[in-house]
Amino acid sequence: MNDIATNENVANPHENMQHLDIFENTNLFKKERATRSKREKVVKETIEGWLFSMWPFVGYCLFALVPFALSVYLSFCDLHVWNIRNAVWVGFDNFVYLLFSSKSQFWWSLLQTLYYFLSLPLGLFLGLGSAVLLTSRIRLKKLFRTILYIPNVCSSIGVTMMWKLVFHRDYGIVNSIITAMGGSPVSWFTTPEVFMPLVIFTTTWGAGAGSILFQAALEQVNGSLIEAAEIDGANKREVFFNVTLPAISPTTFYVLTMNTIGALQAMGTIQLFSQAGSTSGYGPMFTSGPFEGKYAGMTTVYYVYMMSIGGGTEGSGKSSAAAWMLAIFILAVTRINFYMSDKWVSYDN
Amino acid sequence: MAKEEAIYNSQNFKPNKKKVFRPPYLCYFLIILYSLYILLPLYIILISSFKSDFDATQPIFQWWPEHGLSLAGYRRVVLWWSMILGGLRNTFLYYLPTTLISIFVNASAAFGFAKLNWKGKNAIFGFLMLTMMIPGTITMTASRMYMSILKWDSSALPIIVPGLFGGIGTVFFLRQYIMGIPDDLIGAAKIDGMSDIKIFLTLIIPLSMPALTTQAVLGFIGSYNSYLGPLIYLSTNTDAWTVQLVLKWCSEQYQNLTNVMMAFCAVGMFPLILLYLLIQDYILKGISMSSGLKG
Repeated sequence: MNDIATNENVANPHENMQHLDIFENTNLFKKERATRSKREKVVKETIEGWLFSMWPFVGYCLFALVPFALSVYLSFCDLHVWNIRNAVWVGFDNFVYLLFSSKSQFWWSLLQTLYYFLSLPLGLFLGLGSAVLLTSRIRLKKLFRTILYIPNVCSSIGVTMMWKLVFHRDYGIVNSIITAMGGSPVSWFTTPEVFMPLVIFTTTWGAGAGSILFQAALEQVNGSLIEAAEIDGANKREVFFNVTLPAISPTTFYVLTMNTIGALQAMGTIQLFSQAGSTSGYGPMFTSGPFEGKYAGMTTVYYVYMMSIGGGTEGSGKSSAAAWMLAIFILAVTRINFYMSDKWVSYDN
Repeated sequence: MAKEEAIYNSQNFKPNKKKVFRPPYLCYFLIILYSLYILLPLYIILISSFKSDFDATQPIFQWWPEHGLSLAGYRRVVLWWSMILGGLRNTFLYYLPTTLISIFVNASAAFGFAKLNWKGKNAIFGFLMLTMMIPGTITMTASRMYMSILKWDSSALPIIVPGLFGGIGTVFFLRQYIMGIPDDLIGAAKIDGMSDIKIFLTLIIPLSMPALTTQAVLGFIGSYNSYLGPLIYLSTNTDAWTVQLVLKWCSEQYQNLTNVMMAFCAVGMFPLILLYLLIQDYILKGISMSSGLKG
């Protein structure tokens, strides 16, 4: 019997004693115990939640954050073999080399990365354009939809082989059209001027993934908004630019962000195309003109790759340093992307 | 009254009764053009793979081989058959268990994020979303070094183990899907005395099977096609090559015989395209679902 109950009993002798006995061993009317059990419940829930959900986080820490930290260390070292014990601390030398040395291709590679960004508006245009077409009143929509997504299940190896044949110097279809029209055949994979346009062109082949996303967004645009605009006398083009386009802007932003990140790390195609031209893996080199000595198609990610893993002489220290500067660049681009998005992305549908 | 009538009679207000349905020819033209852009290269692969050596090396590209179809290309592929089978075996060995385990891990994480209340949930989820913005390739060199510290380089572990922990992209997608499962259902199961684990295994997994299958298939297609990872870690060890590495190496032995090159290409690409065509409904629905949440 606890004190309060006893006191109460004394004060009110007619109070129903049985009730007190029933509640005595429960938590219901005892604030202290109730909070403790609630706290226990929260702890239990939290442990359970972590057990359910922490694995991707753990994986990210183990296989992305640790290498991240390692790459900070590496960027201050000079190292040419895959053994961390051979690392020699060199301070900021790697950064100085990349930014100021005449042998460094870092600035050039940033330029090439920006060049490669041309594939973004192209892809966006193709994705959105085909999505608009596929949500119009045409038959066989499903068939076309299916076709558009095919490139996304093809391997980069296969796709590269395919383009290697299409643009083959001697037996390719493009060159046979050029010669049929009286031109001379172009060696697509070894001519620096056409190398990057070729890469960009072949990238657009896979723009269909964006198309699927845009279609889903277009189908969700609130029909009454369009009707209202039509009643107000807007023509089709005005409706599209003033109603539909703002309504799907979140999807546009999503596709643009994902494609930007994709473009920043695109190197599978570039690596394979470069190898198609020469066995060293470096793309075709400009031999004259203002870009003399620079490799076409040398985007920053590919530069990072070539310096260490690709067999370049610069080593993993400089490679990591370049990777870090690329990271800053990516951060800036993403920041700009988000900043701009405030101006044109609307989330009220 | 007169004003309202005038509005009703005006062109804009009338329903489209007067409009005669005219097929949108321009739309057809453009979409067929785009489809051709995608399909023609695939046709070129297919037809070139069936050319004879002579037809394949003509300076003028032949849309249909002059000397008829020939299996010369595929005959060379068969020569490498044991190597290709070895590659296929490796690909399935590395990626099938990874895909299955990671989809389970992803589903469990998605369930935690969608339906459970726990401290730190939003922080962890936000952090994971943020990591999607950071391209993994920038730690390429450091990862390679990390694997050599772990003594995992020149084994398949670097391409297997990180995948086991799942990926945030799939978690995000599955989370949206699981959020669509009614809370009442889970509440009822809880009143019946089911634990969270039991709810996950007997309720959530069966209910989200379509989404899980889609993601697993997409994940496996991606792994099957992956090239850089295997290239970085396995290129020195021929026996460990995945099918993609095998096909690339083999086709390089026939640089000037385009029919053989394309036969290898077809062997690598068309099985997956067929698989995709068989289950495209699932896949396309899955992809548009993942976007619908954002639009």
